[in-house]
Amino acid sequence: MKLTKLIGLLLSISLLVVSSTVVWGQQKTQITVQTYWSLEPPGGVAWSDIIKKYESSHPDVEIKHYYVPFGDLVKKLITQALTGDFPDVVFADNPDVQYLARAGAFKDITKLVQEWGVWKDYIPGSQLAVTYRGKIYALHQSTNNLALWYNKDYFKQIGIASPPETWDELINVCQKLKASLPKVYPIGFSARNTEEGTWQFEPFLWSSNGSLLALDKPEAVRALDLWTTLVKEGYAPRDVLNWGQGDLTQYFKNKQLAMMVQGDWELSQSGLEDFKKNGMVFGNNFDVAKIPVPKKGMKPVVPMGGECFTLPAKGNPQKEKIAWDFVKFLNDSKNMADFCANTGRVPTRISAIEPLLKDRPDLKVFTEQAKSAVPRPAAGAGEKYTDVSTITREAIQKALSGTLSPEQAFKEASEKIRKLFSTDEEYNKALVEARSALSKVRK
Amino acid sequence: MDRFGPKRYGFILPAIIFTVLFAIYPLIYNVVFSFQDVTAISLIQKTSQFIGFKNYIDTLNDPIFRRTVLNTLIFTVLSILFQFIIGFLIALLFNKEFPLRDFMISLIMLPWFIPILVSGTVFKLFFMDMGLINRFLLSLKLIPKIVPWITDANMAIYSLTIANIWLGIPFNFILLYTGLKGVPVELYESAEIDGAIGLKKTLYITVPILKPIIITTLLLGAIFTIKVFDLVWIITGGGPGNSSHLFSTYSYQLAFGNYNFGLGAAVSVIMILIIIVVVSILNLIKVED
Amino acid sequence: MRQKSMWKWTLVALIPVSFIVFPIYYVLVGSMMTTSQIFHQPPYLIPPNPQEIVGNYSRSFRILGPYFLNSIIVTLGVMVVILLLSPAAAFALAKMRLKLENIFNFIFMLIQMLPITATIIPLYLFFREFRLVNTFVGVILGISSFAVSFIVIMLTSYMRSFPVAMIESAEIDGASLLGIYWKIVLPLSMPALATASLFAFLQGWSNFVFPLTLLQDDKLYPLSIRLFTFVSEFGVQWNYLMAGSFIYSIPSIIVILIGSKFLISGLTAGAFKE
Repeated sequence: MKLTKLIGLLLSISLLVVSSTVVWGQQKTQITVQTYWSLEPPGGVAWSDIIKKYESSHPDVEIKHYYVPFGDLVKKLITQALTGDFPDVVFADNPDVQYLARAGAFKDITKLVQEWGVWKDYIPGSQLAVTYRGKIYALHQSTNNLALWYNKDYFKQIGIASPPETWDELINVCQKLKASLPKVYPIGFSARNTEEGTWQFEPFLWSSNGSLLALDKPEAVRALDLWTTLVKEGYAPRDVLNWGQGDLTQYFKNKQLAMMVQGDWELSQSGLEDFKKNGMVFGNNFDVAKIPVPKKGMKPVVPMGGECFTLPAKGNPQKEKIAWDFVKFLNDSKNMADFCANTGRVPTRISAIEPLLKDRPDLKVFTEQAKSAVPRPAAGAGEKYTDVSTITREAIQKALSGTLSPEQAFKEASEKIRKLFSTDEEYNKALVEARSALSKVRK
Repeated sequence: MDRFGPKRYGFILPAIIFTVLFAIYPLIYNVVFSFQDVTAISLIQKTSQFIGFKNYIDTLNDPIFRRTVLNTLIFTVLSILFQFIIGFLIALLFNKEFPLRDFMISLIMLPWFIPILVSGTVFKLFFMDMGLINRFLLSLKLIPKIVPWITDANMAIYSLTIANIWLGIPFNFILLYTGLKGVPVELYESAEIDGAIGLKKTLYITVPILKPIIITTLLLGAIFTIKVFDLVWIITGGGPGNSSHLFSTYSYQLAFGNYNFGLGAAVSVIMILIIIVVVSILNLIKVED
Repeated sequence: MRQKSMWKWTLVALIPVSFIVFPIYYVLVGSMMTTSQIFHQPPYLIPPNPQEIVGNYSRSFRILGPYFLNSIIVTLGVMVVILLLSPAAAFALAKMRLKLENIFNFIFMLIQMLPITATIIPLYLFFREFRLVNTFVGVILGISSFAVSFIVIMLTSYMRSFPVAMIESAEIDGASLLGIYWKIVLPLSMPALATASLFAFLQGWSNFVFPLTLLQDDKLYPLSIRLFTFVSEFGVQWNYLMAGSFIYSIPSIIVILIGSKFLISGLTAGAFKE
């Protein structure tokens, strides 16, 4: 009958396609790398270029890239760790490195890195991010951080020449902006119930000398107080509770936000083009400034962003050499500088900073802040960071939505965080480590 | 039918074997997980410890969990109720033949076809404090000031329910529409001969015939609704302040946000147990027919 | 004359349909704007530069196009598995008075209650044992494992209302069980089968948990995952994503348009005479 013929046809098509996915004989060595980066232009140009560059200088190697959506990468790595089916080169967002190293997903590459001899060239925050129990587990390929973006045209309109540097100045500027430009929100940030929310809050927390592990202390509470005031006074819309960082850029481009807390990745070449399309030229119509600090003279401390490449714990020994070669290539100083010049990110190697600034002097604020950027797990109880982060942003959201006052919210949060540790000793140890991480980068 | 003997089982065995094979295994896994202290680390290093009922006790004591139970209840009951009523009314309406009806059917099914990532975000845009819904209601002077649809801890779950009702209408509609199509035309015709006219009379005839389908629609609708994940995750992420979590999103946050698979599994198991209880009650009602 | 009064119903139907379609309308409008225009407050209900539609759709199609075949293979596979297994099981549960009826019912229900996220890791390990990881067959079986029981539950209630008289007269005529199923039950269950096929299609077309978990090679990704290309870690390209959503939905729309014909044909096939 017709149905049986149809089934037969379908089965044979399926078989054909399945078998065609088998690779027919390889002449080149294939190295697989798995990231959440896209190869598609315009945003993926830097990544696909660097892969092509490696392939052209190593004609016997083919780099095969597997794309995994951002939110699913760690899940994928965990399932791969369970079976050992890793790609040849693994990649993760830097705050996940500690956890994955502990889980045994990554290879201890301390010896390899020492042989290479460029370890000292990495900024202290990057070194901290990829080290677990004294051993190196990954290399931080590029970093990014947050700054205060502001619409220069609006500032001109209300007669302010320079961006706010302290919290008081920030509130002042917001007041003036709100008064003169009623249809515009003075400031926007992301207070969403994902890591983005904690990430955006951390610059304010840490610049205020607060610690994630001691949220009930006044230094931490005043940071939450700042955010709560901004929302209460209507300087920032309550919608920040559901906004992601990507949303902020759209509203900023629409000139509906006068200021926003945003990262340097939006200043990629393609990003700059898109701003121009909306009539905003970086430097002319909008600019960036360091995150405001509580009092004049204090140093802004921001969380460290950026991704890392490394070798999997259970790799293919024959391919490991080439895989490591590729990782080194990605971390090469010049390649790093080129990559950052295109993507708006910032190098993690000191030798690459000057070359980058030659190409992109407009990224100076970010390179400055990167020098004292802190990897989040280091200041947030290491492997327990994801729990700490979840509890913190619950408190932030409660304060911003008016359910609790900032003091109450952080008191509740700090109690929950203390319960994450089974003994007082363990907690105090973590607290000391967190504080020392912060002071290390302050120097 | 009995005369065909054991051959009858041949009809159902393939489906049963298939289901048991692929679906029972994860279920068992989850139950096992729920009694262990399992994190990604302990899973990979095979150091998961058996901790008895600790996960369950922690979960039941967790204030977020208790809020989640309430949320899931509100969300599910209100969603099913309104999805069903609206879907049924539309199905009744569409039971007539009028121009462009088939085209409109495909329009009604659209909420189901468009990826939730996209439709969820549109709802988020609409529900924003500065969003379309507030603007619209304000301009018509139907509300004095903006409603914090998704920025208020108490309102969020209701706004999510509204979005979910929208999402579930096609499902209810198509099931009930199919059911109506199976009602013999002769039944209506003979009723008309007896003098029955109008919507009410049609209902008194139609509803009893449709009863099994109505119950199944409600049942399947309930199951579908309890598993809703994407919609909530996209619009509020469970916030603000973890006030709009459902079982599905909270379990996910525990498992893949905090990498605590043990706790995530415990929440899932509790969810399954609750559903079993509810379904059993509904089944009893069915059997009473 | 009859026609005019029927148009009245069309107008009445427009009311609920407009409410339902409005958010989709916004997606349509969004696919004709740039991302920042999509986020403009107050929202643009008419695109300011409709020519954006060209760029959005062409780019979206370029990115999604090659992956259509993957979705088609997976979806057809799922439909085949479901249509082979589910109507038979539903028929058995509805009419055959099996001894283990309640247990079977319970098993099918139980599977529906499993939250998919709870099953990702065990399923990956399970499929790996059978070397079904990174294959279409694995994905098809995975999706079907849940969908089969759902369709069984759905079809059972429709088949319960199937008139026993027809079956009994066929038995008297000496028909085999398979013959009854094939020649009587299936043709007369057309509306329900059409709906079941629609559900099966949608499951196969939209499921992304199984492909994501089981597939390593991103060239095999179906459209449901490929759409996520527009979602980068730092921002979503909403204009392409919205255009992509429509491109992605077109097959579903075609299927429902075809399917609604079958829904009606069941009626004309002489349906359920008592």
